[in-house]
Amino acid sequence: MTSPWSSAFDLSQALKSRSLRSEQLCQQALERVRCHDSKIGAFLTVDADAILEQARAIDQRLDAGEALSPLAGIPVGIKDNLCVQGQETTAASKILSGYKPPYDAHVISALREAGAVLFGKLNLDEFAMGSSTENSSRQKTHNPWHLDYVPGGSSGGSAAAVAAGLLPLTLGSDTGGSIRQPAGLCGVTGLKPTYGRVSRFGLLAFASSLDQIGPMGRDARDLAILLQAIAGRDDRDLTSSEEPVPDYLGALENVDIGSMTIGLPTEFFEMTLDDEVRQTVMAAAKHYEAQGAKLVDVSLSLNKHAIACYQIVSTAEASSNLGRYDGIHYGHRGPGEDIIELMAKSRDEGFGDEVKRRIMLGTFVLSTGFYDAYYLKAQKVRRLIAEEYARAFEACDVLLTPASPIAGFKIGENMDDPLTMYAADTMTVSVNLVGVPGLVMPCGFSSGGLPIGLQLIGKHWSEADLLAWAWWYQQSTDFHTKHPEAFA
Amino acid sequence: MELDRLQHLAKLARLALRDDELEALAQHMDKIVQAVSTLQDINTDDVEVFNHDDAFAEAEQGPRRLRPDLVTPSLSAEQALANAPKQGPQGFAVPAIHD
Repeated sequence: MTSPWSSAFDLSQALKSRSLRSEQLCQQALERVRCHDSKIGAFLTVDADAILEQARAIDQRLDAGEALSPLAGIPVGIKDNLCVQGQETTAASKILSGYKPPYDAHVISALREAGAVLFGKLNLDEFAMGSSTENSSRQKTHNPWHLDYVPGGSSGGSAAAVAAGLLPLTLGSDTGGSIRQPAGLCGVTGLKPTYGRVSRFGLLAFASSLDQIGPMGRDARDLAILLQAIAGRDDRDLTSSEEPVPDYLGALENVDIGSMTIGLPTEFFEMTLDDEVRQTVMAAAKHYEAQGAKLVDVSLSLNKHAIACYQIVSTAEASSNLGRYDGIHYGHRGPGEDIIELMAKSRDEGFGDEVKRRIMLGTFVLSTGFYDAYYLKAQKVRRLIAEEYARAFEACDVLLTPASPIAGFKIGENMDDPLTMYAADTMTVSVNLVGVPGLVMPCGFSSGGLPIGLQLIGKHWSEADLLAWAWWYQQSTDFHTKHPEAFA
Repeated sequence: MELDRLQHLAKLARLALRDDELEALAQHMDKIVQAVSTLQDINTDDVEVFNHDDAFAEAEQGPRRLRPDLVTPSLSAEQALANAPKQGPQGFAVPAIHD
């Protein structure tokens, strides 16, 4: 019996030595899902037969001594906005109920090639629009640390599955914080890579200049294993970069904390946030300082405009991207005497309220007479935000901030107040606007027992450094090893 | 936001929202539009719009390469129609587009 809290790295070693078989590991994971997921609601679909078939196939290859990647035989959960050929992929929306993609997303092909076991589809806010996973049309997901609380969003299922020890690794996506904020709230480690580091081919698009797919898991070393498999150029997504992919696992030990300068953006710590969050995150900064890192104050004064900028850009792009859901080619079809009525009814019946709100706002900011004042303006402010980040990075190697202004909120608490819900992303949205990478990991707990996350924001293409700095922190602390007693 | 503007936006967005739904949406839209209008206070004279290419240009490989303009295998008609809500003899069946 393998511990459900084993890292992917340790599991990989055991699988390679054949002291553990993938079929055994996946049977155990399926049993834990059967026992616990009714309370958590992380999974939308789990096809046990398909999972075990993959596991047995990998076991045969490992038995034969094939040299496979460290991911071989490891079960990896998939956020349900990533296309898996022949498997229902819904983006947690009624409009895609029953939809089975005719192709794999790039990251799915990459996982298959690495020998990973694709393990189920995980819950999310509908079309990744949300910060609590409450906008899913299918079910609520509960925070394993406190079941009355949200897991964060939109990758709430992906975060909760790792937090509850159901899976060692999952894939999420991040448009305004949707990997990092749930990682913080669920006490797991998550990374949004640099824009263009991972191909978006086969990701059901929300906002094309902001979306990135990224790994979530127990620690930075496990994230390195998963990122290695999915990073790199893909000609099917021309926004993906040919920037060479380093050896992320190998780079983990290349860290000299004494030469590290950490920027603390003043505005991120002066805004309204929980005192416990501020104190806990500052303690983490001091932990780096105690080992020789230099702490400097930097200014990101335009961060107060980041949410507004993000609201305009992301909804504009979403209104365009979601135009493809028209009731004609796939998905839900409503009634209609003519083509326009058919499209309009299909979309009205198929989309949830938050999605409709965002489509309407996006349509407004792109409409004649308002495009210059809103969309064009936001894209110019976005450049100013990016320039401010560039100036901050002249003074430091990495930025350190809280992952979220609060340690958590209850299910239902913010559903009637969208503006408060949007504010949950205050720490994270500017990272997507600029395109730099951001990593979140646990650095403590609130007095109520909820995890508190810290965020490291790096320069473009600095994923190897972020993972190394995070791994150093995790080797000298133990917050990432804690798990909720209810799922021990 | 006036009802007729919301009706126009709903038509552009192809969303069959009833007037009572639009009125509820109006309150939300007003709050959001007011919140995002704070960007008007920022001076963006002579500022270019953002694009990611600047970051790509800093990368070792330089600006993004386009792929060769070559036809490669795509979906078969059968694959493309597999999720169709309604199929006709030669493709997706839809109501009449023109009278």
